[in-house]
Amino acid sequence: MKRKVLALALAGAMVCSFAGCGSSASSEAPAAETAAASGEAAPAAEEEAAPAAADGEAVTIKLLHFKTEVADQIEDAAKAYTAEHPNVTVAVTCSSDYNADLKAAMSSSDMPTIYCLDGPEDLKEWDGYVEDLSAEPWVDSVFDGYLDNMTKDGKIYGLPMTVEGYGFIYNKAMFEAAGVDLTTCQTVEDFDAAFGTLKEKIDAGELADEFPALTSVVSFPVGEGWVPGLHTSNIFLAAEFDGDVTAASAGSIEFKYADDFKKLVDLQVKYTEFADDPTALNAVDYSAQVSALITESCAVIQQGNWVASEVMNADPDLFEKLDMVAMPITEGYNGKLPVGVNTNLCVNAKADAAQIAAAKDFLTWLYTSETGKDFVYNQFGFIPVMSGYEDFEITNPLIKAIMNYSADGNTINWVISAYPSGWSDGVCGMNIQKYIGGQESWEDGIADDVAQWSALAAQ
Amino acid sequence: MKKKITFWCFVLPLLIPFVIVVLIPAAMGFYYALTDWNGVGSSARFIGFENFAYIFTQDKDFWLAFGRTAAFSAIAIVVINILAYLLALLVTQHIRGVNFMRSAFFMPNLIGGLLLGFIWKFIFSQVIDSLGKASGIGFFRNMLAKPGSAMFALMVVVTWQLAGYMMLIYISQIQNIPKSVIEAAMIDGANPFQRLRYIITPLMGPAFTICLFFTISNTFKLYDQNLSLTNGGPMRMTELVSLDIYNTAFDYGMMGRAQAKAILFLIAVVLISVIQLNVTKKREVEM
Repeated sequence: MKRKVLALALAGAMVCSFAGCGSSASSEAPAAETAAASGEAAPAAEEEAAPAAADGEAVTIKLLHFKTEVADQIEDAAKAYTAEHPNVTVAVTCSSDYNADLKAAMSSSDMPTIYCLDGPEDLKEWDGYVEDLSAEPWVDSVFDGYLDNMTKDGKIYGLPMTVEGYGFIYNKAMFEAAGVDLTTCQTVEDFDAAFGTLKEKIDAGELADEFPALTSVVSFPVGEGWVPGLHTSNIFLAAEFDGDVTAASAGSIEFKYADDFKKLVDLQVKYTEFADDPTALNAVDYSAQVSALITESCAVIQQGNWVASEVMNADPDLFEKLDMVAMPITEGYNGKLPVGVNTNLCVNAKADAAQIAAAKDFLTWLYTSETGKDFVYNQFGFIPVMSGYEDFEITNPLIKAIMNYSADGNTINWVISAYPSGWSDGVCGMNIQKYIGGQESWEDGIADDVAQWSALAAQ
Repeated sequence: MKKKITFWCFVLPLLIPFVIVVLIPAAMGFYYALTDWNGVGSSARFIGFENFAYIFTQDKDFWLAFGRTAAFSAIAIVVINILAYLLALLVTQHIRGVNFMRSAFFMPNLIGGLLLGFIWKFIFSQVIDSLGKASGIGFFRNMLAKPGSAMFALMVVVTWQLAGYMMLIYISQIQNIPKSVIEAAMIDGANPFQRLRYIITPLMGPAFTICLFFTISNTFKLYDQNLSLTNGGPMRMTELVSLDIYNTAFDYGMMGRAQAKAILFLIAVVLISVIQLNVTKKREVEM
């Protein structure tokens, strides 16, 4: 009798372990044949001869990225490339847990050929895995400053994927209906007054006919650590270092504008539907925030142009009504939109020569050929990082806003790539959650942020 | 000689994979725990027991997660087993729809933990939140935003998932109890409660041993439900040990330290399980 139970239990244990395997394997890249894997030990000197080989021999290159919002479009681009270059297969994997997947993939025999790195911190970490791209044809046409994150000792190691900008994305129609103009708002007080007017009208029911779902001015996803911890904090740290990533990478911060940071967080909290019980914000995540904008239950969200494809797919008419305005930072930096390179495409120096040659050619094709540019600009919705895109007409209102800020010189560079790993979500984002949950004072949180920055940067 | 060949024929097919996928990685893992490896290439530097020293002296978060996990497991083990036992008693009665009930109770176990977490995340943040709004019961509002109720939510999900499975083990044991014993008790005038208390429950020993073992190891190692339901939030107050180890490794890029934590965790789980197996084994009643 005992034996039967045991047998059943063992069988159960096996089922459990199989189930475990199944779920973890689902994120694996589609198994692709590596015809070129035989040349793994090819020395770098043979590289010169490689492009010729790439014309005929079948090569598979693997692209690992984390731009989930354009995952399908990137795969389409890869297929289009294969259509033009039948011997090259581009296997694209999009990862939602990128750092873990990259490390796992790199230590396996199934290394990605093209992958994403953010900035100097990553370059240091992946030293020896990054191919020198200084001689690539697109290097000269990239706009000033966009290569800084990927430049080390005068050499260039990555192609900036796109620039992105974020701020308050708002529904123009709602503010027009309330008679408020957000474009002139600069300081926290300006926004407070503008949001206040809209809130009064919502509470009085004046907008109920036109926007029946509208309940609050702002949706603020504190539960999503990176929204306050990475993006909101970035504008104040960018101001502290005047947008200089190298200075921000030096290993410590002062958090000079912590008080202004608090004002911006408080402003957003004050106009959410949970103003009376802010703890609830700790469960609001990115998807809840974006769907609040899409369902028109809020008027403003702190996000960037990456929400474009999601909103466009859900409600193209609403998308036309969106606009973006710079968030208040501090005296001297108000009205400046944080614009920066989020990530860069790098080529794996440890791949074999034929793969490296094919990968370089794919990147050049994607960013400079007519077909490639159409993908980058129209399908991915990326803001161009280099010249050659002047003929495209801008229809995306969020990109239009960012381009306007750029044209007027009203931008500030991101310093996100200087953040020590784990700091944004795990430290800063968490301290803001504690502050909003009433478990910690703002000052204690900032003191912890500063201390942890130094500790993590030293590791 | 022939006996020896037969012996190895049966042992080797299991021994080889065991060595390759368990023993060797475990030994490598122990080595990595003594390095400052960040997960990239072969950059590991040997630093002795520095990782362990750091964990014991400075890593507050790990011990908080550890305590939380122990408390969570302690409660979950009791809740899951009581519920599973009651369900097993229910579905071994002669009532209509028993087969349907069995599969319905077992079904959650067939859904992956990640998916389950996401489904319940929706239920807690939308459905139950609306119920809270309508009924005015504050506890049901935004359950995942408050550490206490988020932990409770996690408990609900894990119980829902594991109870059906443990129920199956209890059922098989109940059905193994000879009818004659029960009949004898009935003839002696034992009422249903007495039969349960003095006849059935004592004979359930082997099932208790296995179910306790499973619930202990499953709740201690809980990861996917934790990740998808709360992701440790709010404020990392629902972060259990597995998630803490994972975050150390991949968010903070400290593979060596994460490995050291994993080894400490392994030792703890093994110790607890061995003690439990010994204690419950001794109490089993043989017929």
